[in-house]
Formats: sequence, C-alpha cells, structure tokens
Amino acid sequence: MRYIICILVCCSYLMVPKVQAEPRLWGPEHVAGKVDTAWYVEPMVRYANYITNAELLAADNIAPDKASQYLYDRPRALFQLYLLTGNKKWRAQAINASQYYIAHLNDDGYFSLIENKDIKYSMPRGLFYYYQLTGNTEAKDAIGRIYTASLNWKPSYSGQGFWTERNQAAALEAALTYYELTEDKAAQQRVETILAATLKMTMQPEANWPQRGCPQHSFKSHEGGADQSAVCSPWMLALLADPIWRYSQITDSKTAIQLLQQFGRFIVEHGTYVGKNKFSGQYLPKYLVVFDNKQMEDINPWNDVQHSCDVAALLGKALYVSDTISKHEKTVFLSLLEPCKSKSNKLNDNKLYWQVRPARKFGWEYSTTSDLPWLELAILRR
Amino acid sequence: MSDAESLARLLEQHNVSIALFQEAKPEKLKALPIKSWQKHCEAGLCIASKLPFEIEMAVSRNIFQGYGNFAQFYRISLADNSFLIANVHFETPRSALESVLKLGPNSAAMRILQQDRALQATIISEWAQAETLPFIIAGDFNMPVLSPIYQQYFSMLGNALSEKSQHVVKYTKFTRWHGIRIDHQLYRGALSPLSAEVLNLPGADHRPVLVRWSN
Repeated sequence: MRYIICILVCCSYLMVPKVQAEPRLWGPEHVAGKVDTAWYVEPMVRYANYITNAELLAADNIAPDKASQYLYDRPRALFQLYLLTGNKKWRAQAINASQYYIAHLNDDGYFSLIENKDIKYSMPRGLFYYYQLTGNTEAKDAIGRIYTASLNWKPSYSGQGFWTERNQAAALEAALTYYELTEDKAAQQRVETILAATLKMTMQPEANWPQRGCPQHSFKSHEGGADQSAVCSPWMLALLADPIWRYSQITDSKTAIQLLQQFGRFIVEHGTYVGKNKFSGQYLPKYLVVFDNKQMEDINPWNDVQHSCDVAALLGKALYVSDTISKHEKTVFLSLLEPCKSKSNKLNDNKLYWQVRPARKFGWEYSTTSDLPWLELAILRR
Repeated sequence: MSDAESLARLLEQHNVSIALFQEAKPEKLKALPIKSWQKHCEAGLCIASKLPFEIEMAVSRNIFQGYGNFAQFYRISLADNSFLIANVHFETPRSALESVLKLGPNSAAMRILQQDRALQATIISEWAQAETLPFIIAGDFNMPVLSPIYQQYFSMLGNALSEKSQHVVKYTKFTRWHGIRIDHQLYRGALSPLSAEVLNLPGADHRPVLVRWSN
C-alpha cells in the first residue's frame, strides 16, 4: 500500500516564552562579549575556594551544621560561578551544596538546621539551576516544598506584625522559581500578589508616611522594640529587587519595572551617605534607613561597605530599566561599585583562597550580583 | 489567533501526518487543539502523530552532563510495514561561536563542545548504520550540511531539503546576524521525499521544515 506522509519539524515552537530551558546568566545582546568579568570572577574564585573547603571552615570554627552560613543561597552563587567560568569544579561544588541543602530540607519545606520555621532560609534559585543542569528530581521536589512553605508568609503589610524585605524576597523567589519550573498559574498569581503588596507599601504607605521609593514599614515591625518610625533596608531591598528584576525579564511586567525604578530612587535619595576619613567621598549604603529618627540609624562605614556590591547591583538594575540616568545617579552607582571592583587589586597576593567573614557574606555578595559586570558597561554608556 | 491555534492551523493546512518538536514543553503540546492525535513528550523532544507509533528509546544528555534528551526514537506503524523516526536535537555550538565573535575564543570550552557534538553525531550515525528498517532522522541538528561533523557522519544519508526543495534560499534559522539551514530531515530505505519546504510561522527563531514522503 502506498502512503503519503507529511512530516513537519518544528524547533522552539512549544517553548514557554522567555522562560529559559537551560540555565544561562542573563544579559542584553548589545553588551555580550564586550564585558570584563575578571574583576568580579577572580576574587569570587578566591572566596569560593574558602567557602567550599570544609577544613578551612572548620579551622575557623564554622561547623557544617551552622545554619546561618547557608543564608542567601550558597548553591546559587556557586552555580553562577560555574556559568561565568565554565569550570566544572564549581559545578561539582554547587551540586554538593545543593545536595546538602536538600538533605536538610524538611518535608514541610523548611530548613532543618534551625528550630524555627524561618522563610529566610528558603533558597530555591540554586536548586533551580541544579534541576536545569541535571534534571535531578529531588531538586524539583524540594522547590515545590519550598514554594508550599512560602505560602505561609503574608506579603501585605497593615502597619503591624513582623515584616522585612528579606522575607518578602524569599516568598517572591519561591513563587517565581516554582512558576519558572512549572508554569503553574497559581504560582504566577502569587508572584503578582507579592508585587502588588510591595507596590502598595511603596506608593501608598501606611500611617500617612510620604512616598520614599521603598516598601516602608515600622522599625518595630522590622527590628522589634517600640519605635514606630518608618524604615527600609537597602541591603534587604537588594534581595527583594532580584526576583523582581528576574520577573521583569520574563514578563516585561510594568509593576516589576516600576518597583525597580522606585527602589533606585530610594537608594539614591535615602539609602546612601557619603563617608568620611578613610571613606571620604565614597557613597556607602546604610544598613537600615530610619526615616524621621536618624538617631536609630547605626551608621558605621566599616560595616556598611560590606553591602556595597549587593546594593550596587540593586541600583544598577534600577538604572538599567529607567528611561534616563542622571549624572548623580551614575556617580552613586559607580561609587557603590568601587569596593567590589577594587578587590581585584589584591589578586597579586597569589593566595589560593580568601576568607569570608561572616561565611554567609559569600551568599549575599554573590547571589544577586552576577549582572554587575555588564551593568557597569551598560550604565557607563548611557 | 494564539500560537497554539496558528500551529494547529498550519498542521491542518498542510495535511501534516507527524509533527516533531524540539525544545518543547509537554503542557504546550497538550494545549494544541489536535485532540485525536497521539502525542508524546519527554525531556524536550515531543511528537504528535495521526499515525500510531510506539516509543523505541531515548538518548539523554546526561552523558555530556547536560539536561534533557538529544534523541528520541519512534516506530511508526503502517498497515503492512513500519518505519523508524529519530527526533534529534544536537548540542548548539552557540557558546563556541560567541566565544569566537568576542575575539577571545575559549579553546578548551570549544574543544569540549565539539567533542560532545561529535559524540552525539557518532551515536546517531552508528544507530543508522545498524538499523535495517527504513528510517528518517529529523530535527534541529544545529549544523549545516557543509559542517565537518555533518559531512563525516551524515553525508551518506539522503537529505530531503537538499534534494527536493523548490527554493534556493532554505534557511531554517534566523538570528540577528545570520541565516542558516540547520534543521534537516535525513533518510535511508524505502521512504523517499516527494517535496520539501521551509514554512513561515512566526513565534520562534527556527522555521518549520515540511517534507512529503512516499513509501
């Protein structure tokens, strides 16, 4: 019997628009291939050599079961180092870190090395890289458990109760990662809900606080105590800005872009100060901005500079999505960036590793900052 | 009209019997309004067919420390015989090409990538040499006919688009800097191509390749 059979080959037609099938660090085409990443990568390698060496950590009394060292997604930072370098050593180390995290993730989706059910230990992005690279189903299941646990966090703020940008960031990252993994519509709705709640706090603040470009909440809600002054934390906002940035890449969400622009305004107008003496002329991020009660702000440039890179990344993302960039905004961004860039000046010490103290700094400094090298170039060109 | 409706309309317009997809998501295949078709999706490679088929085997990217399958084999049943289809998606040389374009070629990465691509080609080529049934190897090869890997491993097979296309320009993928024919339908055995064309369907950087086959 004779048959006529029509066969059609279709590549890329049944993909999810803009959601990546394989892990890749994001960057616009117009700067691809023109970016110097060495200043970012080489110091990161030194720190990673320390943070992945159990003997070195033990010598500094950092036992594997010390929970706080894992904060801010160590697996994510290590996977990004692999994606930046192509060195399979970092892929293996990132997988080790992911497996350790999964092994200490309870059935209810919370991290088992701490007693409390604490959402800030919810770190799904590194596991998503792990799943994308290997198809590991334990990672996929863990992301699902993290997302389910994160639903316990209430993203809206009514002027009372505990609320921080850090927890909001963890809940958003959990929902966004689960959405990217599954395209679950409820997860996307959860993302939208968290963005809407954050926008409301930013544009219609509680207690008649004026708009200041950030999701204002009270000192009492953030730190405890009795002070009801409005606060925002620049470094925690950097954590929150990152999944918002990611969501804007996937969806072109106007809410996400508006939030990033507002956050940038906050950093420039309220979240930074000019240092003195050794830090003379240098812009530094405040640890916590306490509006209308500056006595409650703990200004310490030696501490504050520790968050210069992550806050620079936040400002860079905000400026990138802004229509215009003023000379002053560019100056603040480049000044915040300087401490990150100047690390590479020490590379000629020929040491194999550099200590990171506290150990969790590796996560906060490198998990949300991988765009910095190209952001610098993109902003300098504007 | 949604992307799914556009694709379903194209399948109907061209009386397509079998559609092969690469870089595909199962939920997207399910959403296609072609309810009576038999469908299967696994790790990025999908098929929708009016003709009954069985899954033969899959080859994973695990061996290259990658994600997903790069080949999925199906047995298509006709009334009095059957033939095989290999749905393939070879490794992209994109990172190596970009490395060259940046004027800073990462030779180690390029070498590894070329080795992976050659190994994938070897696996499919050896399967083809051992197979006694008629077969079609179709999909995103990520290599043009003149590439060394294609010439070494696939030039002994028929290429429907090379032999039967009515048009000189046969690009199947467009990027911002080049057009290239890297999607192919190769064959050996009793099946022969009657016509081959590259269709125009918005929504992806590749274009669909349609071949009419006769047994």
